Amino acid sequence: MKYIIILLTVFLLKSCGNTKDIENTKEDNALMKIEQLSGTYLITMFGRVKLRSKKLTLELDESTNKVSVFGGCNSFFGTFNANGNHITFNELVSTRKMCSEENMEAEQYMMDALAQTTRYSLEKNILNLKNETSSLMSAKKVQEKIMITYETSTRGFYEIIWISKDSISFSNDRNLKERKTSDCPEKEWNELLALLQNINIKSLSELEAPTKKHQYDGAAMATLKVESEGEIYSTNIFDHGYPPKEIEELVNIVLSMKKMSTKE
Amino acid sequence: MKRLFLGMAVMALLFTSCNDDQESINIDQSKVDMSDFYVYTDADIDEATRIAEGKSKACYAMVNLNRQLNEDPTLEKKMYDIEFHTRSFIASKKPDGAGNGGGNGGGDDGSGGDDVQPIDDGLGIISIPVYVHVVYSNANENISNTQINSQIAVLNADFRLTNNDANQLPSEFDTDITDSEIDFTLAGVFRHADSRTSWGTNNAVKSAYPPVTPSTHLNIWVCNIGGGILGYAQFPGGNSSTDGVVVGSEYFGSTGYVSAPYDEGRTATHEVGHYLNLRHIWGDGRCNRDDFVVDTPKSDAPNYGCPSYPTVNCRTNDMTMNYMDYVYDQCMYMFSDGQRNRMRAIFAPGGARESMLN
Repeated sequence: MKYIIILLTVFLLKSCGNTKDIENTKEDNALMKIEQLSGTYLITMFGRVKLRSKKLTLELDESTNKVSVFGGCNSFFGTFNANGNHITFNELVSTRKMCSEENMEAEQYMMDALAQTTRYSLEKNILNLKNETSSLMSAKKVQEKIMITYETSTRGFYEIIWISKDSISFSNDRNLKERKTSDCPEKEWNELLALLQNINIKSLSELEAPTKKHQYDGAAMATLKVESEGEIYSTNIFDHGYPPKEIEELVNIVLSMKKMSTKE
Repeated sequence: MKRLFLGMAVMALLFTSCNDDQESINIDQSKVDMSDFYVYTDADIDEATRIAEGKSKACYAMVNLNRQLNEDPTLEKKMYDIEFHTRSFIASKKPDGAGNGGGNGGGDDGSGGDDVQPIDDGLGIISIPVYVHVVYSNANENISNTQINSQIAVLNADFRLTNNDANQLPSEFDTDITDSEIDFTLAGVFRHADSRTSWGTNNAVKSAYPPVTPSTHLNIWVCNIGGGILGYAQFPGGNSSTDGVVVGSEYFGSTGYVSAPYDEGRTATHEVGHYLNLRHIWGDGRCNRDDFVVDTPKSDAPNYGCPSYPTVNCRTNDMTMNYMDYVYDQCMYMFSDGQRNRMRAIFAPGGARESMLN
């Protein structure tokens, strides 16, 4: 029952060789900015070996720089530093349970791999942890469900737009019986995700509306909601056409995506 | 809730200190509770909190200090003064001990059963002369005189409680329905052909065709607005060059070029309600936001369509049939006594539309 927590000092391996990683391209950099590193990943490959187990996970949180890893039996915790396409894992601490030999081996491999990692790439939700020469571990991001909802209403008009990774839907029916759905364009979706990263969605409810024209019917009432990890965050009511400046670009993209979807 | 009360207390404090030099109205000012007044809605509370925390200093503090206003920055001060006058006047006409006209005057128990008596304000029947500006880009929008007259008739029926659909009122609101004793006469019609097909809500139509003597006449522009907007108004205290209401051609009047379900002239009734200082019945906010009228139950959102009775929000039955809700024309048919007192107060001495009575 008792876990002995030991601190593993991690020596950062400074590579002597100067081999350039050929995957380290500008494109890589651009994608990294769009794709958020924070999240939960399912570890799929050790080096070039595909894993059968689907319970090894890696969790990264950029706001606290904390990493936690579940190795199938034991867990490791520590910190990480990511900068551009460089990443290092530090101060890793492990629980120490007796596990099956197979499991212990896997955990040892993961520990070593993290210690050796100096670079990463993140493309289409696949995270690759690498040293200067080769890939050490691959992991697939567990997609948290993100849904963006924009709703606007006044006495003579109603519209609701839902956008998720897979689809964009809208309805002009207050009872939501009639709705039209089409595929969500990837480019715009990634733009939305990038904009969401720059907004603290937990503080959506604190944004101030620049105008209150809806009080005398000069604008429809609007709200923007973001559903993430099962929580729903919503703005207060603002005037349609006059969103709080913090979300103005986001709202404009949502509206233009809806417009695009009706043209198809 | 704590934060809310703190915010309100701070607002009350600021207003008190800011208005020491206000010309005194014939009433003990300490009785007029302004703590719930707002121009902007929910975000105000946050602003008030910031002020409370010392992050913002100012005396005149209608709580939008850091906001980039694209409207007249003095408007809020004017609206505050009008609200203060309204409450003072209503309170001065009531027996001692009765609350003021605001939402804190005993209307907070959530029962929704608060009754307000129509006060004797000594103003008699208030007659408002109306100019109608018809701005059209096609023959349909050049609405007929018959259609215009049908709208004036609806305004008179609704404001004098001679509308024949009031008989469906649920008995709960029997003591609230009112004759506001305001009537309307058509003073003139101006017709303007214009190639512009939609005018939006930024007063463009008023700039193109300015109001005629807005200090003594209600100006109504009838044109295509667009964007799903049926009509829009301006509260008392706004710029006189944009004073009046705008109504979409298809939603004006009850006959001719009208479009169901907004074809019984109630859009104009609603907008003229705003023009006479009424707020939306749900207070443009959550349950704790009031419309500054005691006898309208609290609500946290508009009702749409044709709601069945009872429709419960904020633990009370909504007065969905009130003209200041968002239901279909055929499903709204009343003002309340509290709304009547509030509208009429702006015609009292010192009120924002006092000049209309001369």
